Amino acid sequence: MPTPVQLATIQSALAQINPAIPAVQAAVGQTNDPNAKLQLTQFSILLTNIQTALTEAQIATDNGVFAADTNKLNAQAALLKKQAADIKAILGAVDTAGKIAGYVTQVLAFIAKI
Amino acid sequence: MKRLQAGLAVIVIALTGCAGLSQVQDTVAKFDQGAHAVSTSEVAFLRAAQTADCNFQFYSQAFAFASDESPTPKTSLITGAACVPDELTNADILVRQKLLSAVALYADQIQAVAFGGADKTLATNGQTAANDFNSFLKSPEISKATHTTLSADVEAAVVALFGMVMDAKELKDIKIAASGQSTNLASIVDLLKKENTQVATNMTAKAGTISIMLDTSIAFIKRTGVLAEVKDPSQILELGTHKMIDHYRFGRENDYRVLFDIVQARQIIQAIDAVGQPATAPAVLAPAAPEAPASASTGAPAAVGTAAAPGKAAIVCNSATSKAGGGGSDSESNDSIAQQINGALDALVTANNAIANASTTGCLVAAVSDLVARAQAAQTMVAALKK
Repeated sequence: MPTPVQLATIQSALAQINPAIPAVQAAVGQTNDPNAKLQLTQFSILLTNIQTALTEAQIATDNGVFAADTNKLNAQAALLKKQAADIKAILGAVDTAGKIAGYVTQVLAFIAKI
Repeated sequence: MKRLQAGLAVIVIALTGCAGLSQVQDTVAKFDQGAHAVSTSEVAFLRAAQTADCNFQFYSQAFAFASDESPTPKTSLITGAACVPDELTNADILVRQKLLSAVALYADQIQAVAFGGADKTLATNGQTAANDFNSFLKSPEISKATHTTLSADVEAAVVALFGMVMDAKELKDIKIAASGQSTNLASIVDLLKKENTQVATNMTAKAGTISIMLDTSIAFIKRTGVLAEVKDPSQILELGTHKMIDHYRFGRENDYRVLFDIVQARQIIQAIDAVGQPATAPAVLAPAAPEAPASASTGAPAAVGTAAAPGKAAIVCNSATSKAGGGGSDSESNDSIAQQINGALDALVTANNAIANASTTGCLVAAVSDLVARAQAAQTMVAALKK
């Protein structure tokens, strides 16, 4: 059984990543630069994969699956940290840049606690 | 035999006030039908979400392959490989199937009690299913698990439902039988609803991400079209990469080839969109009740489409249920499949509570009709998704 704190942490991370993804997707439509679109799309794919891993960690009934999810989340979080820094300049031109950055910071903080 | 019939008649009259035996039996049979329809829809929804997950995986992989600009792509593209779902594993779905089989067997047994006595075959089936569930709980991966979403209350709820199915021969009154399981049903429904909502949110995110993959691809196709017109290769080296040179080399033929990818992606997006949540505000499950009676047992106002929270007092029924029961009016709104199934799950709890507490047949019929309508609407939406 997960501790209540673990479950709450996963749910908190999901609560941050759920609105972050559509915000990044909307940002793609705000730029005409294909390279910027590419970076934002790759960022959205990463966020979507993290959302999937968090959900599986929440749903999984198998201990091995949960352990694998935790490892996957840690690797994805490292990548997220790097990509977030890389696309900071692109996001700077987007209205919701501040919100997205805030979501990402929170997601990283919660994943670190799982 | 006559004493048994007389006793049964007393029970039914006590339940319905003045309704005839056949009407209650008919209604409880519909409750059973609704419970099975909800179970079927739930599993089909989870399978559809699994399929959508696999579609997303494939498309992400294809996008990574397409956008890998190194001379020797590091990203492999295995088009024929079997998908391993990330989000809902087969084991995850198996667990939910066991929860739902407990609910369906319980509904079967409630029906049997309403028709005069517990079904021995069902009791045997319940015993088998309960043993299966217990074995599952004791299996190495579960018993050693530090993580499972089957919280103690959900686990206890399933065990209690199987217990009711096995021991129903002791039950002569469906009110008592239903009342005893209302909290257990609500626990299971609460878990499934939360999961459905998050799974649907994820599907929406996946559909959106596939959509921007397309958007990005089109942006590059447009730029490639420009490059194809460039005569001086040095200009291309300034602007692009190896991939761009390839585009230059092959000219606009590549652009038209990508059209087929876009057509395929569109089909995937349409499939995933049907599972995801709508972008608009959540749909209203049922209109507010103009004459909501207070619960006889709790005094709490009835609330159709809202499951009683685990451990809380049961909801009786609501006159609004009869309106919703007219034919699944929600299917006309922009409800997503997840919302439709969640509404049907809520209706299952409400209908059970109506059996447990209804003081009038009207309440019971309305609640069960609502369940059947919502369950059928959910089934229709899931069936459409498969097409």
